[in-house]
Amino acid sequence: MAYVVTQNCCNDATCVAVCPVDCIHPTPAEREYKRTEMLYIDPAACIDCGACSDVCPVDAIVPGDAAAPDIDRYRDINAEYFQRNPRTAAPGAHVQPLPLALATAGVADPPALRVAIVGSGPSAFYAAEELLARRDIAAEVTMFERLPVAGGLVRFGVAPDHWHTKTVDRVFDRTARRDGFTFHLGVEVGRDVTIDEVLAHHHAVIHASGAAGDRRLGIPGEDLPGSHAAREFVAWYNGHPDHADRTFDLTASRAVVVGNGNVALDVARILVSDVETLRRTDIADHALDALAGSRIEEVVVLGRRGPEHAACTTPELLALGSLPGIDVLVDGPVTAGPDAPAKLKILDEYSRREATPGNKRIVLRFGTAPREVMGDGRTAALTVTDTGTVDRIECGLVLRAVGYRGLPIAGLPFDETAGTVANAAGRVVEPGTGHPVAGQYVAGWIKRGATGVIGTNRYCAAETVEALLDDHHAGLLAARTAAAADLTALVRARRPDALGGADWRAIDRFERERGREAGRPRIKIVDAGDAAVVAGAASR
Amino acid sequence: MKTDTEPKAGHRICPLCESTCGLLVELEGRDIVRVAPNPDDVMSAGHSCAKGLGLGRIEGDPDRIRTPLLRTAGGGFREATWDEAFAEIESRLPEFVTGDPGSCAIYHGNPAAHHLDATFYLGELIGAVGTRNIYSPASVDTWPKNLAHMLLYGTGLGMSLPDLDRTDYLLILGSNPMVSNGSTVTAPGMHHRLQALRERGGTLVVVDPVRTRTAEVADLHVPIRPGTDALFLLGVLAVIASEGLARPELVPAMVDGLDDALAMAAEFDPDAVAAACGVDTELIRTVARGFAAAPAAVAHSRIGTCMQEFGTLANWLVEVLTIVTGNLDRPGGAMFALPPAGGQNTWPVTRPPALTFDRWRSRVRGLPEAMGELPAVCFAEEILTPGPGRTRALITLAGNPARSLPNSGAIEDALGALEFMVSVDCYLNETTRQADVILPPPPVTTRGHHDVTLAHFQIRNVARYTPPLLDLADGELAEWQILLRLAGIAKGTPDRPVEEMDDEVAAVAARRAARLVGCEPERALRSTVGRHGPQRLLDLRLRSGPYGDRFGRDPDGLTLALLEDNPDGIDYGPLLPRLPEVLRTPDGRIDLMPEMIAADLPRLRASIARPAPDLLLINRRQRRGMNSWLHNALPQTDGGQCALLIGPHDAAERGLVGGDRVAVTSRVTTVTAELRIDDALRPGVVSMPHGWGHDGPGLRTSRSASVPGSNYNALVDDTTDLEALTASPIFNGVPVTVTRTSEEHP
Repeated sequence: MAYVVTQNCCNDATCVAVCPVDCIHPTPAEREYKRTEMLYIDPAACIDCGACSDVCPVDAIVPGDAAAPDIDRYRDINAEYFQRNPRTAAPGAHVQPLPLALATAGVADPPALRVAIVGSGPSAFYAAEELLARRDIAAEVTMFERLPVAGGLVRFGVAPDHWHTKTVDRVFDRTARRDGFTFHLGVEVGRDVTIDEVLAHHHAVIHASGAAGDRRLGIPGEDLPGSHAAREFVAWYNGHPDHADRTFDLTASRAVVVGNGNVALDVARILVSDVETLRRTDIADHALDALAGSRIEEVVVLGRRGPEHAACTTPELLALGSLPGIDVLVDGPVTAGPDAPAKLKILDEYSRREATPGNKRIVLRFGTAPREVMGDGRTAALTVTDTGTVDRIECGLVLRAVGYRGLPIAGLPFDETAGTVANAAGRVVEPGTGHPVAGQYVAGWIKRGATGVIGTNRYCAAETVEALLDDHHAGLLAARTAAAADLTALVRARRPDALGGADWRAIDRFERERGREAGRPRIKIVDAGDAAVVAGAASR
Repeated sequence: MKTDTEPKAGHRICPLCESTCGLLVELEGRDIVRVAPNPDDVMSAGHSCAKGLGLGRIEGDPDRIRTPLLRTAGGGFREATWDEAFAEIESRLPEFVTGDPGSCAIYHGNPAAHHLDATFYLGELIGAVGTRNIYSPASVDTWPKNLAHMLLYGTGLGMSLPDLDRTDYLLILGSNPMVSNGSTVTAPGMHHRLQALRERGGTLVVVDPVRTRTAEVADLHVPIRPGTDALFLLGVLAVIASEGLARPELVPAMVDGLDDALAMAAEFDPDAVAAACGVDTELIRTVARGFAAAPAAVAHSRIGTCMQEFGTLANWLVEVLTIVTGNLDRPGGAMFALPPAGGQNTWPVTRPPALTFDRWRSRVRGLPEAMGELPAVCFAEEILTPGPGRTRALITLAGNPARSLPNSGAIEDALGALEFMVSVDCYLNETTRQADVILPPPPVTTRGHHDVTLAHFQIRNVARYTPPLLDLADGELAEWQILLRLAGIAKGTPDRPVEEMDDEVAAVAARRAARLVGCEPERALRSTVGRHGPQRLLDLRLRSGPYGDRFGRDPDGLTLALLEDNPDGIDYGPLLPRLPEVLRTPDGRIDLMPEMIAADLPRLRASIARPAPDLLLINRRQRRGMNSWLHNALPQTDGGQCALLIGPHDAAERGLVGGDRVAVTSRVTTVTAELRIDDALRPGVVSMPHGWGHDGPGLRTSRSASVPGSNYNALVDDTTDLEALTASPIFNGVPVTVTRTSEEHP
């Protein structure tokens, strides 16, 4: 029975490189890749060899006979992709692509290249890997992270109950152990060291700092207490140091999430999850305490358009439906014909479910636009427009989850419409002239906007590195003027409390060890001071 | 055969593993551009795997050696002509052959067992060198099974086979065929066969320290402590003996010692055995009763049962279990193949054959020969220990002892101490980098393929042959020609034409074939006129074999030409009972209690009371690997593929967390690896894949060297801890400690 890609596919396509029959699609070379929710295995072509399952960084690929959650559905979902995107290539015609690192092997005397990377999330680490794994250059990478802990949205974005998704950090850990990699944590480029200082020590800088802002609803009352960005709520429950002191009002019985993408589903799920279930995750302890006292019984998830336009991915929607003690209901009818996409069929199924007494609820509502957050000094209700009529939803908490948005980086041209740094294939360019800004590159969400899943960043980063290398070969990157050791000295002088790669590994280990003692994958350190103490203890 | 200008496509039997899958190959020029499973192959019926379908990448590997290489004064290599290469060998090899034939050793690797050239011509080289210092991986991974079957049935190769497609109860020990495709059993498409077993209501039981992929699809998994398979089987037999579950009425009449075997087993207490095995006694009882009650049942053992302390005992007990429950030589039980090219268990004998074991012993430690070879654990010391008969020169054929034999450090020291070394190999790897001359074999597409050896393991009687798709190009030499040239040099007749030597080999083969058929040798030779090389020898074997045309006496019988006309193969049907004619034991009977093995029982019994070691390292089979040699063509994506796996409990006890870099230390040395926690491993067991550690200077395997992995084999002892009868190293169940290390780059 063919192997099956399941819920937590990260799209990094490591599997594609080892499949002997080219049955995993879309590949990064295909048009559909950029928008795909996940990768799929063609059951008609799969020879059941299992090579993909061995290399999947997040263990998302399982044998078709495995006892994995929703395995029957995933068999259908995998097969459906190929019904919609039939393959034309003859079986066996496939030559496995070589990983870039191997394809670039064998260059004698590769030229040196030093690159600074700002940020430590997936796009930052994929860019670093792309540089350090190559054998046609001798790269050195300096990574700057403004927080004392690494990981970006793997640590602060992925929901705590999606532990498997986070195991991709193994991949990044391998990169961080490569020769030529230097890590500075607790150092903010632009505050502690200037871009010019960084560039003096490097041929180029790749900004991979993500999207730190979010889109607004643009409705009255949006800033009332009790109305927040989902981004902030996510950062809070994931233990982001900047958001640890936030409070969210969980005293009312209903919350509303505006938007129905994966972030919306994450926050809705966390709001109604059993605290004992969450206690087995790496959710921040302060969030656990707050959620234990939560009175929320129902979360309404609003979508402006119809169910066929639900923004979440099929796997996330599917996983939502089998949580113990939680009903997932759809407010209003959904019709899905036999040829409808899997997502619509799932919504159709949810729409026919009945509420179970005693259960908490997630209610998906479609065709509903928010009008105003109502309340006297604090959120008490959200008025919405539903097919022309105005409706009022009583609630104590409104979370807007209508998209992350990049914030401008000082000194770099910014595209306000897209919320990205103006760039062409990762080269920062002046919007008017299209002229490259020498030595400056972007990768990840600040480059392409807040789309895609973790592995999408691999190819986003690869494209940027390709552009950077082209410029390097063309002699467009200024030779660095200062030595690596000088930079470390400068960082130390400016931030005596800065941490290094070994410090981060000590913190990471400490968190995992503490987690294991408590039956959790990790217990996060939230406070920068605590992190420094742990790092200091390890280095003695 | 086709020329370079025609579009080319054709059949190819996969030469990589024992499944021998039928493939369809397309070429552009001389390059393989398409490999697909052959749905019409009579044996594999459309099955293949990540390795076989990677054949194009293996053949097209840019790192592959395609021109002879000669060591230069500076220590590197330069490309050379074949004449230069043979001239160098001619000037240096003879002193090691004429002075003392023992001083030149031969090592042949696993790939050599998978093609005709080595099968038919390696013996010529061995004969010419006149050495007894022959080594192969068989002494690392198979001898205990060979010896057990040799003592029971008379030959090392003619093993009993699990009749997978008809059995009702399959007990697998020490094998993970869902990942490996199976070994000492040729049954391509194992997942289909195991699925079919369960669909017809049969039972699959897997005995393995790890919940492997095969264990996952089994009805029952016995998570045994490594090295205790023999005890487990004795426990099962004890239950069978005490509960009267044996089926003497179904045991063939030529079996002796049935009562003795049951009495011996009855002395073992299942509870004590279960404790030593680390499993519940009820599991042992369940297996015993299920196995005995099944209409047809069979046990199959492989690597895990061979590369351990009680290997011969375990493999013998597998047969005892099958026999006492009445499952020998009947459908669904253990049966024997009837190989199309014949072999030791098809050729008639007039006098009892000598046991091909312990006919001579190694120089340094006095370890026993088996089937013409010395144990590989002698390899290093025979080179490094001074004295008369010391090995000073080496010829390797498709082998990488520096990465596939135990104690890699000693092996590399030994290779460095050689005075002369010739390698027939397509890679400049950890072994061949020490060679003086490297002779590259030609592309696989220039070879005809028939599995003379592996046909002994077929679970269905089929005959298949895939002809060469290409002629040899300029600058290419067939491997059989290389072997004959080397033999000519060793014999002191370097200028003898290869054709002449080949005719001589064929004349000997024709005499044997004629004797089998009962005709004049001239008739045999006349029948194969127009053929030469391995094809001629194969035709002689097929035509004088069990299905042969007997050189025209049976016009419908098998010939090479008939197989050429049937490229999907010819199916001769399911295995048929072969007792007693299959036996080659001295008295033509089966002694269920061979003295040599029974003498090792007290040692096993004593082990029951032994405290369980702290942590035992076992091998982890990989889907895209084949020992050490596919890692460059099918490279691993990251170092994590070589991670040391450990169970959560063992990790917690040692304060280890996933992602740690750990030092794995055995009695021999330390290697470092990335740690991953996996609850598929039973407590007290850690696993790593073997054949890795592609490091050090002078390699021309750029891809595997860029993700070198950790060298498991460096940890394996080749001195004290050995399987008692065959001197096989204990490779599964290496006592290790695992500690965190700051070493960043394993």
